[in-house]
Amino acid sequence: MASTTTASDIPIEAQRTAARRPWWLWAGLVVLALLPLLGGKTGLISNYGFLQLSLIIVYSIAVLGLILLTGFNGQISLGHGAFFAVGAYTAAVLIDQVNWPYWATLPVAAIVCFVVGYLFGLPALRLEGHYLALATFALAVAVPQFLKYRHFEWFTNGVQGINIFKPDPPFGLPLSADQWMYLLALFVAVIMFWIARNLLDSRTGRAMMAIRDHSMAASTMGVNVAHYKTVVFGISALYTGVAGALHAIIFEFVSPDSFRFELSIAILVGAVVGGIASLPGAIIGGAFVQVIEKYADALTKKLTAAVHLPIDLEPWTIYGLALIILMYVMPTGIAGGLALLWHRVRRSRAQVPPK
Amino acid sequence: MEQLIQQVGSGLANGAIYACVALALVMIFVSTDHINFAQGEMAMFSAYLTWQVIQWGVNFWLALPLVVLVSFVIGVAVERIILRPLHNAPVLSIVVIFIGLLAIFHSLAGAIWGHTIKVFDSPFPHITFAGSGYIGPHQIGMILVTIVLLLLLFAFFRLTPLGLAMRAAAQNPVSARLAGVRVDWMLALGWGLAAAIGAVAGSLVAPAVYLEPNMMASILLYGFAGALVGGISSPGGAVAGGFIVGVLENVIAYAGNLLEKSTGIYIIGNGEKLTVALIIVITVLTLKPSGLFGHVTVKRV
Amino acid sequence: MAALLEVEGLKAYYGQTQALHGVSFSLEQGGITTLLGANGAGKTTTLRAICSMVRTQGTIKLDGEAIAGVATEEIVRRGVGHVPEGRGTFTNLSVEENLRVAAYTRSDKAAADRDRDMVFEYFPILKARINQQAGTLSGGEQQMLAISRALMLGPRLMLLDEPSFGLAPLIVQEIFRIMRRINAEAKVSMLLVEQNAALALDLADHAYVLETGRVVMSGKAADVKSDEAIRKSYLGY
Repeated sequence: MASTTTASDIPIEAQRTAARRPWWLWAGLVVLALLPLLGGKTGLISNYGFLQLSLIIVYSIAVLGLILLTGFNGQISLGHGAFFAVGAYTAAVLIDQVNWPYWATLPVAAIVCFVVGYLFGLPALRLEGHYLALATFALAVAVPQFLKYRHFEWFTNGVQGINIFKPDPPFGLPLSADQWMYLLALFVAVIMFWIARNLLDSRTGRAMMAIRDHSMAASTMGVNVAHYKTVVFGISALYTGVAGALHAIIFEFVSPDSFRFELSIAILVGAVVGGIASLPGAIIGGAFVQVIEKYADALTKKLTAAVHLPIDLEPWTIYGLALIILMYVMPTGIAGGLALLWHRVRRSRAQVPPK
Repeated sequence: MEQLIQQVGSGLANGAIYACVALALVMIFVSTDHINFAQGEMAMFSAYLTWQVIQWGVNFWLALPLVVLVSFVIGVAVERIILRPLHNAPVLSIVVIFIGLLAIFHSLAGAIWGHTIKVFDSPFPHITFAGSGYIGPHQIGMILVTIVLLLLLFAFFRLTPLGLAMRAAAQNPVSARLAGVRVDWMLALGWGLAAAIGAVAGSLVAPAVYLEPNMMASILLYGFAGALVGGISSPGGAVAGGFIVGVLENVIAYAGNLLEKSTGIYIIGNGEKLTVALIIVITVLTLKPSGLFGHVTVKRV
Repeated sequence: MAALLEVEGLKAYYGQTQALHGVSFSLEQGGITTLLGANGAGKTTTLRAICSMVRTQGTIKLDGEAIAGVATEEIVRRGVGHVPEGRGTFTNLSVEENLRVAAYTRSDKAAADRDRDMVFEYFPILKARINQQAGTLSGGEQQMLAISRALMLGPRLMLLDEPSFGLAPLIVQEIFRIMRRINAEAKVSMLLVEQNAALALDLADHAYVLETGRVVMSGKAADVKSDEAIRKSYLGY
């Protein structure tokens, strides 16, 4: 049976985390922050492992940007790779050409991407559903060519891309560069998720969701739909752009062909798999993107062997099948599905009559 | 001047392909209100099928109808099996499914036939004729086959009962049901036809560009641009839009090259064609979403 | 004679809202039955329910065959012509194409052609406007076209939803006259939903009165017409 569950079907209580942050959230954060100490020094987690963790965090932020726009504000974007690219290039250019310190590039990338997102949000106001998907699709396809534009070459370095270097930890801290990047990413992520949580719990968040659920009704209730939609576009681009900037610093390289259409799709897939209207979903989504990117080939080969197929299946076939099956079975993603399940369990427990 | 005519000629030839893709998109949009993001990959997959059948020793002009038929069936199957059960789902779910289909068709082609470029000989005779300085035999072939295809479709929709039933089902599904038309099957047929048209487009364009899995990605974008310019609710408009975009894309690049040659200033050239398509898409969507020939739908509260 | 249409305990729902609460009535072969009632009484919903256009519970039998839950287009193919509220014209098609679509399911082309001639006999104005785009026809002409489309199905039963709606009195009279002819000559049974009770009761043999999704009165049209309560509520005197 096909599922028509949407983000708006998840009861509002299930959409919010506890009003007071649960103790295990704090404990978890502390453990994560101490990971370089616990994992690194003991050799449990290699530098490579920290690199992977950093990328998971980075993609979580990118996916969070998309979730804010699509899951919480109802604007579909197939082109978030564009904002990722803008953030990445902002950071790379500032570090490489202007010799800025890496940490200073993050706020700049944030502002630049907000402006770009806001500007794109203006014509997007008149578009909905498929039309908006179409416009953002066009954006995603055109990004690499756009980045190769001759007149940008003096700072983008054209097809060759820009090489930068991971910074060393400051203050002579006894950490490896990878561990320091991990902590930086973690720090940025915590701040950005915290801001997102507060944004969604505020009046702005409620306006956003009202627009998602019924923009006409929202506007008749006095919500300035145009204002919110463009601002949210900007914020969404800001988030994904900061992720892009972090990625550039961690990955040490940007080039036009790093930001092809596939990237936009990967971010969308991450959002959908994780949970299109769920903050924890962004983390699951980010992990999904990174893990798939790393292990897709190996996974697919195992699958092909297991099912004895005559051809070598490719990862994207699995993506595609997973996407379609997900839309049938769990359209609100893993996080959404879990939230619904949890809510049902709590409700049925509450209905058990006291002895 | 000679170069300009060349550009217009090849623009028309490209435009023929864009027109086909645009028509396929419009056909699905008019009947289901969905935009088939997987149209390009489905066409590319069909092109590979044609190539494969030719490899097995069949002549192009026999292979093509066969592949068109198979693609038709695939299109019907996709609509009936994957899309029909979710016809009430929210737009985002539908878009995600289209992306899923895109991923599957794209990667299946790569998995079955590999990613190296395949040579696809033109089925049109390599003859020289007056004017072949301006336009090649394959390009004329593309235009001719497209025109024949369009005439056949026009005849189908205007003159046959099934074509009329499909038009009615697309325009007013409720009234069509009340006339006994099996609307659900009309939608599936629309998908089948769109897939068939895509197969023709893909098989025609493969000899001109390189047959590899990424072949149709930019063509799809041009097809979108064409459909939007012409009017995404108007089949005739979409065809016109496709040709317009084809010619426009070349003429703009040509103008940019001229500018560079004469003044040394480079604004735009062959490397920016996709960006031009993007600008067309955004401009049309923002300023006149119904395109040149389409009609505007009024949203009722 | 077995009833052509038998409805028993019909409940209908728009989403979660229940619009019919157990409606029962029947229609004899060859007869004209009318459903009366105020706005929102459930008359249109009843017609929609018969054609499976809304979610239903209960029994609906066409000539003894159960049709509840059968797809709309299949019910139509069994001989039910529904003239919907709002005419349902294919506005972008010509008059000729509108009629041709309706004949789509007819396998006997000769019979379909005869029916077309019959339609033009009843409604000569349609023949005059045959190539005109149907959306440009007047309200009365679109109503004639809607009835004609139903006739082109070669139906046993016609469901008519407020054919008088929004039309000038003279046009309405003509349409009702023709409906009587269709019933007599083409032997098509009719279930007529009307707000114009006087007209409906003149045309019909039997009448049912609906109120908030329930049948509150039934009987011969003449009896219902002379009923005091009906006169006061629906006939205005």
